Amino acid sequence: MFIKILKIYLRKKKINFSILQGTGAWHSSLILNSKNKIKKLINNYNYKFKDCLLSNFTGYKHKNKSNLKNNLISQTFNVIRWDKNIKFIKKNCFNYESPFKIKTIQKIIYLTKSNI
Amino acid sequence: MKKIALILPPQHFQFKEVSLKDIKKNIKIIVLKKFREIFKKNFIWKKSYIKKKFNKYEINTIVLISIILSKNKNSKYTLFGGVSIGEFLSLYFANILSLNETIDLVLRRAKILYDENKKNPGFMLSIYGAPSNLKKIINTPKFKNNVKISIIYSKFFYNISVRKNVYKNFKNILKKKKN
Repeated sequence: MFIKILKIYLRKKKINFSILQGTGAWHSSLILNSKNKIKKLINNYNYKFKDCLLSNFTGYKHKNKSNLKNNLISQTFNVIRWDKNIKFIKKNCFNYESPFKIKTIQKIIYLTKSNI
Repeated sequence: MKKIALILPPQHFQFKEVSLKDIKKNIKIIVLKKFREIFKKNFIWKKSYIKKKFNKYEINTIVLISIILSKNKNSKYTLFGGVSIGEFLSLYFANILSLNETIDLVLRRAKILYDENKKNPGFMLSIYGAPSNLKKIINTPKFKNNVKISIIYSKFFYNISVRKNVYKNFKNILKKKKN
């Protein structure tokens, strides 16, 4: 029990930060100047709506085609709620897979764990 | 039937783990052909690409799209979730957009964002073990218009967007908190 508390305390105390290579100030209002261009771009495609895709903006599934488009535009300029996404996946799915290295996904799940 | 979700990671996770050597080894001929077509169409084709001297923007997009193309789709998944650019990639895996449309969308979107970043330079910071008063620090007049939370992974793990001009000040505050 003591070790568990100590671990949580140390984790809270420790602050690790690093610059992410090849990124800009994305998913924030700092790039709002490009909103019209992104809006035009996203509205330019024919989406076949399916009720199986999670939205980064709301944290839940997209409701319909127009909702999908709006959420895709909003996710570029607003906070991404991956914490909500992962909760939804844990609640509704038995397991998860990825076409990418499983190490990458495990890392994301591990780093998100403290919220579940 | 057991429900299985497909998870697609954000750009920087892929960027960290896939080296340029990996790309050259694993990249398929189809990927190169597709890229050439799209780069030519969008007038962003460069000679450096033929010589295999990539710049950052090209590496990012090549890594992402080569991975998409090298993987087969599977109908067993009932839910698709991706972080950041991963949400756009999941459009292809969920059969919402075709392969060509997905590549086109990802490339064009990346170009818009990178162009914007040239005008107003900034980057994303990954903060693990974020201090409890992080939101308060961000909302101070010093940082209010230059620092924003961009991805919330958990209570302790955030990604934050920062303008280049305030990065040093912000870094110092975080270092003080660490001590």
